[in-house]
Amino acid sequence: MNASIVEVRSVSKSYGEFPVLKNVSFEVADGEVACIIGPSGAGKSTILRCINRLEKQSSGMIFVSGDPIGFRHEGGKYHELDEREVAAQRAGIGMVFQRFNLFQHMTVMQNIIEAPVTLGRMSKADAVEMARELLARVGLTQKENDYPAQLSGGQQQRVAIVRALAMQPKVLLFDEPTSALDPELVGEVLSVMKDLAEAGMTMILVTHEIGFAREVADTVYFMVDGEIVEQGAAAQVLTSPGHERTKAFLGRVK
Amino acid sequence: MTEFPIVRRRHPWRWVLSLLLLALAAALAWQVSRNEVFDFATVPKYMFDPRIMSGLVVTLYVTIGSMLIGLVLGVLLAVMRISDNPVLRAMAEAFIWFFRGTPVLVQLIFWFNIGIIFPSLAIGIPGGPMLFEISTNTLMTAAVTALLGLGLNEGAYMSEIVRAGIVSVDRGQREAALAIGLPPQRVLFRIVLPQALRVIIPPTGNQFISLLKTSSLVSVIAAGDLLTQATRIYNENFRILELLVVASIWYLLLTTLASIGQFYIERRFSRGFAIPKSEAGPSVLKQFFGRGEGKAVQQEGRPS
Repeated sequence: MNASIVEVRSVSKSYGEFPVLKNVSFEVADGEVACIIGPSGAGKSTILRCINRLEKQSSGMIFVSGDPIGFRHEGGKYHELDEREVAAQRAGIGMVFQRFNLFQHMTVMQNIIEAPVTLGRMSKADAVEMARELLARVGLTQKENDYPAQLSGGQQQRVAIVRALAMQPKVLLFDEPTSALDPELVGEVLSVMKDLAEAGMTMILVTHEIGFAREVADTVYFMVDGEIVEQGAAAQVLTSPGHERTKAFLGRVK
Repeated sequence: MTEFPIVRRRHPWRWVLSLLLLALAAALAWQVSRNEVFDFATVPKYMFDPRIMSGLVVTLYVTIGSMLIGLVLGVLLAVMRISDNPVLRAMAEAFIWFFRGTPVLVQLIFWFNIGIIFPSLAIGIPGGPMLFEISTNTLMTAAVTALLGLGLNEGAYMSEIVRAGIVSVDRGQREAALAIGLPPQRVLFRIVLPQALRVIIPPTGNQFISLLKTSSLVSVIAAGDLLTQATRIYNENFRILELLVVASIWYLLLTTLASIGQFYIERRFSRGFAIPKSEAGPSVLKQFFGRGEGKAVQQEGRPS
């Protein structure tokens, strides 16, 4: 495997007295597809949201391409960044949400080019051209002038993936990307994600799609009560889990 | 011929009620028209009187001006109230508490007389030279006082409307915008506020119409608005009711225009949320008299 893109080191978080993450550590290499699975309330989404600092961990540190997310390392200490600086870090980390979260007042095209253009990454003409290429890749060529409300859930999620890709992120985070979809629409989103994985995109995904994880993931992390209780190569964790909780969970979701 | 012929319900009581109302209105009109004291000719005579016209201009300028002040202030205060900074939050809350808690009429009279305690306003270095000085009474003309008084008050109310609008936008919109790397200010102005407008505009239209009429309070400081001018004229000719009718007709006209404007602005800002025309109910008149005009059944095809 290549160098690490994402390093999560001893991350803990609690809401008041209640711990949601307990000393979570893992690394994701360049081009790796990592799946985080586990029962609800295990802290899967929370760890994902800490990686782009939508949530702040109570302790521990997360590095993306070596940069401490939300901090500046100086004089042996980590100084908290202001929101503007955090935004610049987030621009390199893509995220796809369970409920798509496309900007409702903007067309598909506007959704995709908003960030690259306003952040000065590229000219509007270049952004439009890139957006068209990406839309073609996910099979949505005809939809660039539609508003999100005119699209099906599966189409919206594919646009959301394109929106994230338009920033050319170092890593893509998926937070249960198919959980809000009608069953017959899940396949179209998973196939886009599979194409991305095959194209070498580094991906961390929280999912309940065990079949997809088995097929596409390199590594699987099984989380319970804020802890990673089992981890390893996808095939190994999913077919011959060592931990009792993993066995019980996989028995239920299959 | 269809297979299932349908006879729609009829609404005889609606006809009875409307005839009754028409009869009442006719009786009232007849009474008024027979009144010998009320001079009908005075109304058209003063409709376009230069003084009334100048009053109209002042009313419009005070209303639009204080609405703009209110809007800017309202957004500012709303953003302050939802910020993480406790000092900003407290400042905004104190402002709203004060300006919503005191009558706007009192505020107007207060600002008009502010010259009593601060005879002049100056910008300078404490203990050093004055850079700029102006007499308060020169600065605080009735029109400026009207703008300031109504504008500050409006800001307090608008901030609550803007805040409600911001809160109504799904949290996911903000998160998605942050996640893609947009800085917080852009998230607010490009993503959250445009969507909040959908919720902000209807009550703002309401505020504007209310303000059009509240602006008549500035007649107490003789700001020269529509009511001030009407008062001046009836103090000369004692045609009190006639001139109040003149003013009322203008107020009605302005509020009607404002309502029409509101309709178009609302439609403009419901992009991505618009209800297709076929889903909206039939017009009031059709509902009233129409038979077989139930809610249109056809909806625009929308994949789910």
